Amino acid sequence: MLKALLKKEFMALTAGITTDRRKGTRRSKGGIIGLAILFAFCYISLGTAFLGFSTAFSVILPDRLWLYMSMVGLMALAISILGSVFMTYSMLYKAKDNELLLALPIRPGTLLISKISSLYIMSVLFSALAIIPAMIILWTSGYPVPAATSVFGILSIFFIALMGTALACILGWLVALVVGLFPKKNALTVIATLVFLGAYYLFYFRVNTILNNMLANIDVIEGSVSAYIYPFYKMGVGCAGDVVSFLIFAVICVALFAVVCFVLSRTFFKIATRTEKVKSVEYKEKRTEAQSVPRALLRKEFKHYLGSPAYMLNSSMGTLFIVVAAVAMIIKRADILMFLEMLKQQLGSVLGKFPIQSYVTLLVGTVLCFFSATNDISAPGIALDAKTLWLSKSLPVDTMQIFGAKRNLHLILTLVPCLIFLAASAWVFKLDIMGIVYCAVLVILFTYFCANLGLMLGLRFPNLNWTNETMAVKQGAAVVLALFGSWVLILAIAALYIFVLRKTMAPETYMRILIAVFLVASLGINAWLMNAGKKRFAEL
Amino acid sequence: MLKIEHFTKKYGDTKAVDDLCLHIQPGEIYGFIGHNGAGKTTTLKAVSGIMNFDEGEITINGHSVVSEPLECKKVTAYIPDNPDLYEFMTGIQYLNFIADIFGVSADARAERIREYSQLFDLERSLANPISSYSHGMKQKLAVISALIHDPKLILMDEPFVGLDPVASHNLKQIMRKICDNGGAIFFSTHVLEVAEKLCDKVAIIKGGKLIKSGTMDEVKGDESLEEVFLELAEEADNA
Repeated sequence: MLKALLKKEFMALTAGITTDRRKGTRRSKGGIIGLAILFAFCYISLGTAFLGFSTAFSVILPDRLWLYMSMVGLMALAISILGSVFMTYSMLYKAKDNELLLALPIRPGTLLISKISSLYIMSVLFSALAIIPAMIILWTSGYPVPAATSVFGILSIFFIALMGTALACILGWLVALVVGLFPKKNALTVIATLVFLGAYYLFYFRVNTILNNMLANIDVIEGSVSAYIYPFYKMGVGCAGDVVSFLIFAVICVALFAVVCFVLSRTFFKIATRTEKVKSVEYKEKRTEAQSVPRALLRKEFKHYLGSPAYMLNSSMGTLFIVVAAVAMIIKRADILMFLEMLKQQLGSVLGKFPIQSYVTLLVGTVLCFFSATNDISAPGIALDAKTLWLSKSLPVDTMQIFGAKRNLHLILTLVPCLIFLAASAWVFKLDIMGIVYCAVLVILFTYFCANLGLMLGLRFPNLNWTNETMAVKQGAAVVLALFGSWVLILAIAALYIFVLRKTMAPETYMRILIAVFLVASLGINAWLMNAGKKRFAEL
Repeated sequence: MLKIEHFTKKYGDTKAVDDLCLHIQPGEIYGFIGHNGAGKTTTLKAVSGIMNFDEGEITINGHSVVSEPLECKKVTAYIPDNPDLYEFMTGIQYLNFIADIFGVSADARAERIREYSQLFDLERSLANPISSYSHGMKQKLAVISALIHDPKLILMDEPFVGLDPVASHNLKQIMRKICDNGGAIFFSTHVLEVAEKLCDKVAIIKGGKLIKSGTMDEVKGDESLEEVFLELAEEADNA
């Protein structure tokens, strides 16, 4: 029975790659290989981001291999938890097939284990994101690496994933308990996530300072690691060559996982079948003014967005970060200007013949476009409507009005913070009027292009068979291509100017060309939406 | 009001509906009965303009659902068999949204929401999120939203499933009232007793083909609709 359940979970995990969700048919071998390569590319790209962390940790290496491995292990655990904790609650307790499966002669504990296995596979992938770059740093650092370190380092991916899954399950269980008591669960989810991410980024930006402090007090740190995070002390010592220590670490991970599975299996049925508390509000009639169709559709999109923490947190974190970046830029104005002055002196000869202020304007425009590309609000818009597509189609509204509402949601949530950032940039860098206009037009057209691209990809690769909204906003080719595609595009734009055009083309001319390109591309996608897009929507 | 001419819909090589012809006049309640998978839902979806089809023509008040979909949808309401509504809205927000889309004035919508929500005993729950509604409450809300713009043609797929006896009774009365005022209703059902008592005309479909249609008397004569349905289904199997 467990085998059948595990097979179902594995099929659900890989369905995005193996199944064409729009047609409901299995993809061709070529399609599966292509998507697997795309997934691998995104995964490796993400992994390279963690090389930086491991490089920072490697300052510890010359004396203390065990401490390096302990720190890497802790980082792997943090990523493993961070990567899966937001899905744990929905995957374990809110899965739409829970009621169906619990009505079958299956023990709740068996069902729980099958669902935890999906989390474990994801946890392994997240844990590897930290461990593999760390091992690469180790192997390429010239530091003598014992064979045991290589073997145990790789093995620790699987044991840390066990611990990460167990801790994520405990957090998911706590969320389930709190959600049962707290009526405003959407607000709770958003606040908790933002606090978590805030702490994460604070650590990210201060990692060098923290490491320097650690090095200054290395003896104290060693004592603390062995006293307070004993499993990772054992992991570090084990990876450094002590087999017994590694075995102790492995046993701790397995035992923790087993205990968590046992404890959660006791309460799984009760929580999974619980009906959530809804505070009943009695309706009092009040007059409501009629609104136009576009406004009604946009309000509907906003209500969907605000009612879905998964949508807010996965598709529009940029909205918050851009505003934070604008405020930070104003606060750190003096430092930024000093840094810019230093760049001017060092790069003066490398740059072309054009006024330095022109390059600054182009830099601001490019940064704005990059910030804009951090939102992918329109890409999952079609997928999120999967269950109510019948309604959109049966109403007397033109399909372009439906697309327009989704695009406008993207534009409002992205452009408002971008324009705030532009205002802050204009003040800090003293941009002239034409510079501000160029930046504003560029970011408006780029955002419009991204919103259209997201819609097009959402129609082209619709992910309509999700069991919870998180899958709609996080998984599927449309979301991946929209997000990474726009990042790659911005990097390509920056690289083209820096490496090829900086000496021959004025930054303003380059911006004018970019504006023209994005205008034409946006109009091209618009034409696609008006013809093929409408037909595709009707076929969904 | 509604003309379905030689309507054919294929799923791959399989014909879900084959050369269906039906005419529904103003003032008629038209029942559509058949086995599971007979093609009832496919036909209703095509008429409501949410599903493309391969052959034939469907017109509502002289407008083609293919070439003039918005004209058709403006006078039509569709209630699916499983009403998945916008769960992120409250009941009243959903009704106001539908009223905005159909351009219903503030006064008219207030009056209709009051009337129908009281009739279906949903008034007290309108401020609650739809995600907290039971299946029956969602069905009631779907019915109210279908009535809010005073449609000329209502398409309903198994409308009585999930409704309590009082709500079913009220819905039947509303259906009669709409048709007495010149509207038309085309609905599918498996409850043959309801069809027999409520419908002016009935069509029986099997395997995508129309096997009998007409007034209730023409279709069933002196027998019960259930007996006729079973006989016709058996004949179709033997043919």
